[in-house]
Amino acid sequence: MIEKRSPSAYSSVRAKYNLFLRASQKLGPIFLVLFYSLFVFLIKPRFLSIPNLANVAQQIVPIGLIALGQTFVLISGGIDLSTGSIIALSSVTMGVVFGLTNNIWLAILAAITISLCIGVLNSFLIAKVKLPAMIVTLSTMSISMGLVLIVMGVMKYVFFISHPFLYLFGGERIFNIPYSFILLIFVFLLGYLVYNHTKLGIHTRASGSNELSARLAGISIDRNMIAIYMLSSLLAGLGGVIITCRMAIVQPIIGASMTMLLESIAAVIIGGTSLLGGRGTIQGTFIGVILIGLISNSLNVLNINPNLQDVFRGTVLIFILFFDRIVNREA
Amino acid sequence: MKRIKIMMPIVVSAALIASVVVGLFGCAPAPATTAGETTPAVETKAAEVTTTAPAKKPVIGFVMLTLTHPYHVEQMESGKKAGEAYGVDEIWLSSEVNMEKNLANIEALIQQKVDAIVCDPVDVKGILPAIDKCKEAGIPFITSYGKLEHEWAYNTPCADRDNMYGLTQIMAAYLNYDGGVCKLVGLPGQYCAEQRKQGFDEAVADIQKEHPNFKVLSEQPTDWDPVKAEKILEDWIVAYPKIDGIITSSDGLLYAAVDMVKRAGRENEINLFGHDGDKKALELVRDGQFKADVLLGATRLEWFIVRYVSDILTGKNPPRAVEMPTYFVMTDETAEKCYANGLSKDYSYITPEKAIEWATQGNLEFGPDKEVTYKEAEF
Repeated sequence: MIEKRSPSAYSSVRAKYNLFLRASQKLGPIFLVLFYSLFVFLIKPRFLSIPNLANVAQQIVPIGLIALGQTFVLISGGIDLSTGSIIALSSVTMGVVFGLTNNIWLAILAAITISLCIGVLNSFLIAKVKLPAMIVTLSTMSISMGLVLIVMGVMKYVFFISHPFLYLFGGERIFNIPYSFILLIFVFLLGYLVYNHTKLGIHTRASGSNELSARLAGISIDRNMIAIYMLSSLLAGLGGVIITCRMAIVQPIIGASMTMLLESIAAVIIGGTSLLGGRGTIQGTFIGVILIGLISNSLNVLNINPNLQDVFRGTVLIFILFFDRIVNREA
Repeated sequence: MKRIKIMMPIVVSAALIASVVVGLFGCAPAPATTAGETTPAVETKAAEVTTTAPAKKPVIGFVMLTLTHPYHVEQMESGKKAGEAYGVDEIWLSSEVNMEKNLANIEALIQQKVDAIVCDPVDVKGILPAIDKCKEAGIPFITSYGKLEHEWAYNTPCADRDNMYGLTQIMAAYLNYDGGVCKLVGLPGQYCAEQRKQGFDEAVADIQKEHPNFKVLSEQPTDWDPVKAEKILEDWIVAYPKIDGIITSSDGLLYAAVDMVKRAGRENEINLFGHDGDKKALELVRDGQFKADVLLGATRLEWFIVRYVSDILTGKNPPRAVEMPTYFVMTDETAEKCYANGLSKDYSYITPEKAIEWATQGNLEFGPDKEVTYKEAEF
């Protein structure tokens, strides 16, 4: 005999389920971080130790910076594929200029300047010449990679650099929190304020949702686009500065920059930003960056077989996106 | 303003077309130059008229795994200098660790009718169809630091497996066959990375038969990426309260460790062992921050390869598989300690000072005026 539930009991269960789904939709990325952390912790308790979490906090800074810039770009309906190689270019430029002049501030200025130059090129070609963002940023990615070798060629060989500023953002911590992570939080807070409380943020969302309507409403799409791509390259340049601080050695890192580009885009998508534009949050991207960092770290902590690491990483990402899809569809 | 908006796309398009045209003309082999250098101006005298065309220089195409890793950058720089010494022109292409690009680059060089192709294959099986095309075109195919089975290919394998086996033995002896070590692996699946991993694994297995206290804490792939290696090193320092040694498949992956172990206050505990014989790494061996290295040397390798290709093109018929000489590098103090702990004297070494000299001046061993005796590689 089938036990029948009373309508009130059923509606109570259904109500709780709906509440869970609504919470998951808003807090999905946080649930994923907590769930994944718990999963790895049960296998390897050291995963959630303070020193390991401090490591993760330090390691996610460059990816976080380019993910923040990418968030604005994706929400506006565009894409920036050059950020990975801008990081490499910025890093090498800072190292070489410091190696030649021994002036850390000049080196940082050079790194940021060269990054902004790429940003200017992107902005001009996309906003003014109206070339597709994907093609433009693919091209400037290639240009940046070539420039890395040219800049590196000035010094011929790999070399070490040392300065108190490098140590400060390279590994120094306060109460086990890396200074570079504090910088990341500060930058994300600024990003949050810009996105939610300035015209730039509002116009970015508007142009990503419906460019025609935004234009008819009097929004200067071109000016907005220029600001966004410049912001993206500036943040990538800052990411390169942080990498140089961490590595304390100047060498081309282009292979790494491709990985960082892909991971940053993954972080932005996991955080809830739509690839089609118009939708996304800064806080979602932050959580996405943390999750990507935890996944990478867990591969080392769990000592995953080298031949299985890519399979593991891909499987985890599919699960995450599947969970996100289920939650959003049901809710 | 309106005129500017109309003219801008036209100006940009014209600039793009001009750059493509210049690039196409620039694709023809030009005398190799390095950044900062200018090609010497060509002098012509109106009174002299030559009736015969100058002899065409042979052109060698180099298809490298990447041109971003410091090792490969040094290879390219040295290869250009060696090319000048041997009177050959060169084209350098990067495969960006991508098999499709590897094949496409070779096809492009065949179309340009180069005289020889030197290739660092992403995958030794995947490259075989490209060698068939080289054979059809009559262009010699030479592996750069690799070994693959094809009747048309010339091979320049390095004894990667044996070198890493020996380096692991040196590390174990230095640690008195007791302790936990970690290994940075290269790119899984790639020939030299697999050979080095195999050498390490075999050495560990042999050492553990008599010394079970010698343990491997972790082996992690880096994809030859220094930033990824740096993350792995950071995680190891946290994960393992005691690490006696870290050994790497490539020097570039381990440089970050020098500063890192110092900041962690563990420089007296963690001993570093490199591979490749980069100039920077050899200096670190000299200064005691690396304990040992294997002198391969990007500069030496490229001089050796250019010499080998030159001998092939001039009909000297060298063997089809030749091994480049490599050496273990350590200070006398390190060597004394290792031998005292039981390292076999079969593992001879050279000092870092000697290694630096050889590593930076490839012409000392493989210049046009040097007699080179090829050691035939086992196949």
